Amino acid sequence: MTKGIRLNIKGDVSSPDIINDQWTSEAVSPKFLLQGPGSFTTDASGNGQDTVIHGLTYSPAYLFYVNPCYSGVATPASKWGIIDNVYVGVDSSPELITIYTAGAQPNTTYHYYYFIFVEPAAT
Amino acid sequence: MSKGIRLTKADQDISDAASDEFYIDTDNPLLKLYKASRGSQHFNGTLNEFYTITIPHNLGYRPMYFLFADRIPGAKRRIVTNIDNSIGNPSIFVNLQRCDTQIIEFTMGFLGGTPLSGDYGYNYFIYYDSLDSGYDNV
Repeated sequence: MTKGIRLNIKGDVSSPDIINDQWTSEAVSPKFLLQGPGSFTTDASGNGQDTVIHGLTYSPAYLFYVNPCYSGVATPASKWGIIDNVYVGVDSSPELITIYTAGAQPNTTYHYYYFIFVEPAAT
Repeated sequence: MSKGIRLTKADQDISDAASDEFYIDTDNPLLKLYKASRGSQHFNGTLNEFYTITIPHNLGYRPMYFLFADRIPGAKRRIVTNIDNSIGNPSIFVNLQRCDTQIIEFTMGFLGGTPLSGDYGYNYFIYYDSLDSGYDNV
């Protein structure tokens, strides 16, 4: 016996096709909790950070896209990645997510756009 | 008054389930996929061989996206960001160039090391969800 719900308006719903289903209860689809823009400005030492409060009791999954100062290209950020030759990190914690940089150009504003999901970053 | 639809995972009580125990909760919208596809770029394997790959979306705003590209022909695919930090061999350099209201564009090429010839694959996912709109929380 198979239990579940599938939505497939383009293919044959009687044949399992998890990739092409528009929705299926066999997979968890990320649900948005919060999204929005933010920014932070580095200090004279090139360090800076910002926080986004989500209020969850666990560390949620997230996506942060950072606009580097010179190019305007919105690039995905990671735990500790390189963007425009400087390190930009993102940490997901209970209650809040922190985005930060160290050793970047001083007094420089970094803009970002964030998506925070209901789903935990780790289970 | 509460309006909306919720669908819980199996064996969850809808009246007191936690937010992450719902498959669907209209208070928390789902990601909406706009376009997903794949492609490849052939390299002869010479230094300073570069190609620019343009992916049109024409949404009129900057969308959420994921872009992945091979580090060697047919393998080691990983997410593409604004600056590539690959070191040594294989030495292909993959660099996001633009994400604007009409296109996503990236370059692939060899700056040094020992270039490997072959077909380098890439794939992408573009979502309706915007990087620019929605200044309020969902």
